[in-house]
Amino acid sequence: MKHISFFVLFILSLFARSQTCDIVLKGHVCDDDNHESLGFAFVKLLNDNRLIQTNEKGEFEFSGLCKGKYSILVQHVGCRDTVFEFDLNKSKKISFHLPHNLNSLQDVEVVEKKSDEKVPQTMQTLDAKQLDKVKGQSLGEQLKQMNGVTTFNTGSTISKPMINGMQGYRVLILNNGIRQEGQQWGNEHAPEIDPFIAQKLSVVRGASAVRYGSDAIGGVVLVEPNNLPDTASLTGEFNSVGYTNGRGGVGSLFLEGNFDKLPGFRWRVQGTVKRSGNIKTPDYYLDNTGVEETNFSYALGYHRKKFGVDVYYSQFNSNIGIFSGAHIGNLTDLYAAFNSSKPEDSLAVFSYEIKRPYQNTEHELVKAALHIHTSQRSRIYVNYAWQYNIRQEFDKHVPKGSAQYDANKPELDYRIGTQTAEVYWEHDYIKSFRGKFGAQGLLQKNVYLGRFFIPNYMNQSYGIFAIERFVRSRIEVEAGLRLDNKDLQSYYYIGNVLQSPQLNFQNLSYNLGAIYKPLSFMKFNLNLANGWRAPAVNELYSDGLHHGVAAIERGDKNLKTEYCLNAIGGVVIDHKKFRAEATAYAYEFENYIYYNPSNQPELTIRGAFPVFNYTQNNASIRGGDMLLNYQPIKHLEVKARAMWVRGRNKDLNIPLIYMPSDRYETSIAFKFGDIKLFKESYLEPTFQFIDKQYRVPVNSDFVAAPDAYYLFGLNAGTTIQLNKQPLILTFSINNAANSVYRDYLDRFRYYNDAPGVNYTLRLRVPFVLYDKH
Amino acid sequence: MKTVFKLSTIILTAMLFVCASCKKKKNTPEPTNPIPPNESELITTFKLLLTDSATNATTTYMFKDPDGDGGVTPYYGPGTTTTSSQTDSVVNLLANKTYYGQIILLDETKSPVDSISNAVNDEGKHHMFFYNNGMNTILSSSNPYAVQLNGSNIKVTYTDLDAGSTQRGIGLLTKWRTNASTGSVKNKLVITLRHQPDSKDGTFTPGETDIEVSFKIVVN
Repeated sequence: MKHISFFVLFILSLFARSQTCDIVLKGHVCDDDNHESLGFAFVKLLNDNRLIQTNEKGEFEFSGLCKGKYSILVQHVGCRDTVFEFDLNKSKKISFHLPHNLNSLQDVEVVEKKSDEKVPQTMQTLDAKQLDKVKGQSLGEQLKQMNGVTTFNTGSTISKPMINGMQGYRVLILNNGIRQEGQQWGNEHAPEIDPFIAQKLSVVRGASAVRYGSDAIGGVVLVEPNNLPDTASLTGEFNSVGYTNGRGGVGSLFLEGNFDKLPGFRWRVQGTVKRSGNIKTPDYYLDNTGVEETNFSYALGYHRKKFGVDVYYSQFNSNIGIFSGAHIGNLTDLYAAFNSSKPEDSLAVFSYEIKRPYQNTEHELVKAALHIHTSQRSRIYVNYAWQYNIRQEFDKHVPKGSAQYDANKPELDYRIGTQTAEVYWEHDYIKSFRGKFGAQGLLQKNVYLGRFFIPNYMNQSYGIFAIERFVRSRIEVEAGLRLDNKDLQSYYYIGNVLQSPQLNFQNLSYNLGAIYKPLSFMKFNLNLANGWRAPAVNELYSDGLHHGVAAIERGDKNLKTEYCLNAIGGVVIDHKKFRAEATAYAYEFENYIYYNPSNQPELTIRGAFPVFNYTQNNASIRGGDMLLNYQPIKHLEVKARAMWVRGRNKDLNIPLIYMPSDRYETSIAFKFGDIKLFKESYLEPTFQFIDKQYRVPVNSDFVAAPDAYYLFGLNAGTTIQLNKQPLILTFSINNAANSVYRDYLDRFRYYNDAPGVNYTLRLRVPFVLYDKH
Repeated sequence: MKTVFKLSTIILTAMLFVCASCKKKKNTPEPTNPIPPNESELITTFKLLLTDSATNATTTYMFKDPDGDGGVTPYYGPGTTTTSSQTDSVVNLLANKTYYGQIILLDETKSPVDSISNAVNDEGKHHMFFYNNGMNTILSSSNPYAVQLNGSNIKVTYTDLDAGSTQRGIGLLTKWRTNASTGSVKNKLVITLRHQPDSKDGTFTPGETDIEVSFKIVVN
């Protein structure tokens, strides 16, 4: 409560005077000698490292700038790289005259990354500022900030991102450019990624198989760190987060630098520690819901003018307690849990202890990347990555009997090792075309050491692709083609007979998309693509009791490839005080694979268990969402979001199971600008309404979908500027009214209420130990 | 500046060492050699033995899932049918008699066959069997624990005790007293083994279910 009164005081003190960051800088780049416009020059805003390219007429634009000093680096073929410095008080247009190259002695590559790539699918990004509001939450929860993204949860500590109503195999996560390869088969298996690695989180919605690889049907999540520093410096950032529900804390630190004496070398070290204890619903603690996470990563790069080499290593380790009241025996226990208003373990008290049942996961990633500039406008990239994922699940209690039994041994123990390699050539503007061509390969081995649930397998796949894009100032058209081949050999026993079926899948993917800007403040995007997905091993061969979810799951070895045709279109209007985004999409699936609950529970010695069969049908998923943002006066910003998803099994003419229900969100931000030491302060109450999921297949669930609910929340933040040292403070309240609710897409809704009120305080301290400039 | 350079060098060198000391992988076998199924502990067989105290004749009622969860469909014995047979799941008792009951749990995937009931007995203070028919009355929750199966008019009394500080019945060994005949009415009998680590209190609620087997019961 103390920090609330502090914030109220603090906020009142801010009302005196303020300012917003809505300055637009329009620029024009031309040759210093002949005053010719320089098209496709790189322009980097050094204040926040935003990188864009000028259009054919040499024009560019940066918006959302605050008053202050700015430096801009401009680069163009044949010209000297030049930094321009200037002050900005209001929106204006500036001409930048670029001198010719005078035998620059500096042999250090400056532009190592092309400007942000646009995609014709709908794409959204959370930058460092937006991430400030959600730091400390799981990756899935952070992504929920974006339109069309929800999560599929197992309690409040495990969440998988869901894009356009799809999750798991249909959502691809690229961690620092590498496909995350973990154990995707469980709904209770969250992505093994430290969200603090990311300085930027992006989501590409819509089928994106050509660019990112088959499977990317629902969409792609991009987790991207910043580029390594390219000037001699030693800088870093410290993040700390404390929250009341779970009495959790997170600390994260990174240091990065570039050597004066060894030009070209650059590095970063990063680490995160997280601890939290039992979560509290409004009425009771949830026993054994603590989380421990220890993650670290290193990056080292060596860049010269013609090439660059980067190596990266990261390790993710987590222990996640599973609410013991949810690790139930059989159907009788399950119904007892549903029918009691409180879980059996509701007498629990607060504790950090993680007992059985729990999950232990480790994920290691080694990446080596090389790029060579084949010309000023083209590059070759060679990337290799090795990943090793360990997933151990410890049941509620050890099996009885075996005297030799090791109590520290997990019941479920999966190891998956993946090697990926890719080579591609990318070119910038040749006439008005830019594009890339390349090949990718993957070799994967999966092994179980504990109880059998999914088979061992070897997966070898490769793909070749080509994307070309025609760029004009108002329109961009993209076409892509990709051929994939996948061999999957599985090894498992039926009785005492070893089975080793081999399957081969080969398919062509394509996409055709366009971005059209009829007016400076209006943008349309449209993409048509197909996608396909080979059935995964668990969908083919699983046969047994999945203890984590207390269900018998049965694969079907005759499943066929899932195909989809997807159209996604959007419009963005960004006009002065008003911003609107709207997206609509449709997927038409052939052989959509899903988890089909059977009406017939199956007998085991432990009693009856519900049975789920992997089945396929023709299906469709359609939806839309929108965002409105209006800033009537400098100090006020109103936001509203809405999303709708509809899934239909076309063969049976029934709704698809586990689709997100309709959601509506609104917030009002009061902005106080800069007052003395406090910069860019804001206070933002939020309101969410999540409707009941009315569209569920009949008799398919153990209990009816939970009722609609609404949540109140609050975000507040400020930057305290002590001399040159900024301290970025944010404060959030989630479920401020401490409402009792359960969410349809939370597996634990069968057993317990969702978490109650949570207060979070965050501090981010970027620091500079040394900077040559 | 020099110190900065030094610091950077130290950090980088440290990185190399920390990386080398990363968690070692246990020997991971090749995928081509999966672990044969059922190496882990399993309960494949549940047997209820009822011995007539007058004649010493023993009848065995059985529920068997030879390969554990999933796979082959479980079945009731004493027969060896591979489809679950309703007649095999009926416990037939005579009116006004006393039977001695015993539960045997086996893992028949092991050679020699592993007796799980001994393990349950050893960990008796964390386990308890319950005999339910949906409308039973607990006659005594202290020792000896006794329950009345209404409808069937059978009184089941526990004759074993665990080694806990408050000694309670386990229910592996029981005494069954039948009363009047129920004719052809088949009542339900559900036998549940609850695993109640450190929470066994003589009630059904704590812990979770290890075994749940349903029979029909007729008293003639």
